[in-house]
Amino acid sequence: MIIVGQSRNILNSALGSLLALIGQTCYDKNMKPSTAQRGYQQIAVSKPLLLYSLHHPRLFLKAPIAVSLEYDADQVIAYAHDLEVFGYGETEIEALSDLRRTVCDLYFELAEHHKSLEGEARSIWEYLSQIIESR
Amino acid sequence: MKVAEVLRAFKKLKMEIREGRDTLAFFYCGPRLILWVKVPHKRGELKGRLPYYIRQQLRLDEEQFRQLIRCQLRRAEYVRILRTKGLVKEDEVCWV
Repeated sequence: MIIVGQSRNILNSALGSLLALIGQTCYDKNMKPSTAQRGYQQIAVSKPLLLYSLHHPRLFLKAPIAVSLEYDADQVIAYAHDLEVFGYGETEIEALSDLRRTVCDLYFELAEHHKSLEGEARSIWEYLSQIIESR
Repeated sequence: MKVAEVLRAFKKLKMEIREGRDTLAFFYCGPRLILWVKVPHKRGELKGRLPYYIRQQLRLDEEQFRQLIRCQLRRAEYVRILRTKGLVKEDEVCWV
């Protein structure tokens, strides 16, 4: 029992140090977190998923869009890396709805100007026009 | 960083935002669409990593983004930055 108690104290102490480190990393604005710490934060709070629908009356997805959900302090960010756009909201549903609207707006804008697109914008349009069907 | 400051910066760069419909601001160089940036739709403070994502979409480093928010970076300087990144051609004239 004594050993268990000591182990618990050691564990509590280690956990306290870890939480203090994470707390300092997240909330102390004066302290710049290291690249490794920032990497840890990013990995620890993001979740990948596939978006299968745009919830739009005219636009339909032929292939899913890869999205990463990132959990901030009190918001969720849904980021589509291939399109370089994101949505956000207080919940996952809000963030994904916002992202869907953004993807639709991007599609319509790029469709309107696709003849004058070059470089990165053109690459993204080519990808977007492959995965979205407009009826 | 406040949402109003970011929206003001978009206007300063003469980005196209159609109120009421768009969730994106578009940066054009003449007729050519160069890039797009998320328009924050809530009032008050931009929290967490949102400023980071907006900065990434604008293709600015931290100092350049700070200057933009302080209104120290105008459209002409921004075009110069985009030119160094190859997003705007050397001989391209970026009229609004």
